Amino acid sequence: MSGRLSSGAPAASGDADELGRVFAALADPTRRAMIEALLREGTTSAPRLTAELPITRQAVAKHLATLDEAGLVERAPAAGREVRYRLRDGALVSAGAWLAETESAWERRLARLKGAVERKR
Amino acid sequence: MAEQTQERKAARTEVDVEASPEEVWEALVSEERREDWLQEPDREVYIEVVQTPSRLVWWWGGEDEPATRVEFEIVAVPRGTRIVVTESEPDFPISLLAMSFARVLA
Repeated sequence: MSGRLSSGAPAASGDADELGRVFAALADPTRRAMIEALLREGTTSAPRLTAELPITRQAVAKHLATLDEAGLVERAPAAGREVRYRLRDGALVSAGAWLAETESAWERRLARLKGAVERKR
Repeated sequence: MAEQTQERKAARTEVDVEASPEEVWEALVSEERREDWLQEPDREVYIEVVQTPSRLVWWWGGEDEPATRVEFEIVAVPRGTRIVVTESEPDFPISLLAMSFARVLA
């Protein structure tokens, strides 16, 4: 792995090219499985991912580089020689934000539903 | 009105409508009428539970987005009908990840 780390968390930037890389990175099921492993385990490494996923070490390295370039993962400080990866801060939005967003979407939909039902009377 | 339901997080929203539960039900289950107020053409709706006219459960999600569960409870109240909607987050929070970038884009 010689993946160079990109600078800045994606959520902190509105740059369209950077967002394009993020969406492209998340569009692949293998890379989503890698993110899932990071959510589950905190950190991971290329050998560990190679053991967990039905792909070669070369493929793992390529996918990690893609996630790195999209700003989703970064190298974690490690004591040993093994390079470990973790999710970059800001890659995950809080559950609180999901709740707030979902509830406000339903408030808008229910207001339209109420209007539709009451108009029809 | 956020609340925690067991281990899963659920968003809960409600509204009172001046109409009968049957009138509300019709607007929920008719695909044509649903499109008018839901306005989510990119999401596929898969109905899971139909208990006329008090409970409806569906799963939905867009492309590259895991499904979430949406439950409607329809309750008669003195001046009409109360609709309580609960949307549950999927077990795997990748949707949160995708959503954080969608918000930046908006």
